[in-house]
Amino acid sequence: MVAGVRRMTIPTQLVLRALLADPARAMYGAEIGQAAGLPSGTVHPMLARLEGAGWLESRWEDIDPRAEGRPARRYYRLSADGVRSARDALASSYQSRRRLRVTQAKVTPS
Amino acid sequence: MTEHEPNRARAGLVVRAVTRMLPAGPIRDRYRQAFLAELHGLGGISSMLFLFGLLSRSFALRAAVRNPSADSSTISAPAKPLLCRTGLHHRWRTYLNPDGEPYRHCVRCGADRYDGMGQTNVAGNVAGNMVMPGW
Repeated sequence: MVAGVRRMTIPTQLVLRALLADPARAMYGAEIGQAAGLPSGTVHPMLARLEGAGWLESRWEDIDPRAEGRPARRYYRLSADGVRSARDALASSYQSRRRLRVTQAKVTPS
Repeated sequence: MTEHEPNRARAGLVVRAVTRMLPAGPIRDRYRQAFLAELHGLGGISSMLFLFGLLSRSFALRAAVRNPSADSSTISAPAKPLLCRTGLHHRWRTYLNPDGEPYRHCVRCGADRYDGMGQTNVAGNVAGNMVMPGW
């Protein structure tokens, strides 16, 4: 259980879901933004925080820029700990929202 | 010189401005190269949106990069809306606590308030709050 996950921001949840869709697959920033449905360019602070916390690992793309005709990209994917933590965090977040909805439904309007 | 080169040069200037806020050295170089690589191949509007996104989140990126030892509680920290932070407006919903007592919960910032549900006697609440600490 990750502390405070109930308050995890929606964009962070979207990014984690996008990465968890295929944890073995590495993606670059704009690609993650597209998969998460977030504006490209806005996901990098989230990726930096996740990487700082050890949930993500990153590496440079192994290509020859001259042969490919483009610069190498920075690729991100969830670490082994990150996969576990992200799943726990999303599950806790879901449970918390569900609990709130159930409790809210029990409240009779005044 | 192709027609895309001036745009690419302008994009490079924006990326340079965004990454200038990051700590100098390998971190700044890393993000500069990564952003330029992601810009490569993007069309006019897409690259504008990408650059706008970078600019709008540049302070958040600087904060994230400057605090690399952040733990998971930082990841889950709420982005508290300005109106909640200033106390001007909350989006209250009514919930029940485990004892069955109603309380108000702001669905935007997560603040809770027990304020004598249904009572509108502000003076009474203020007086009660002033008396309670001495009890």
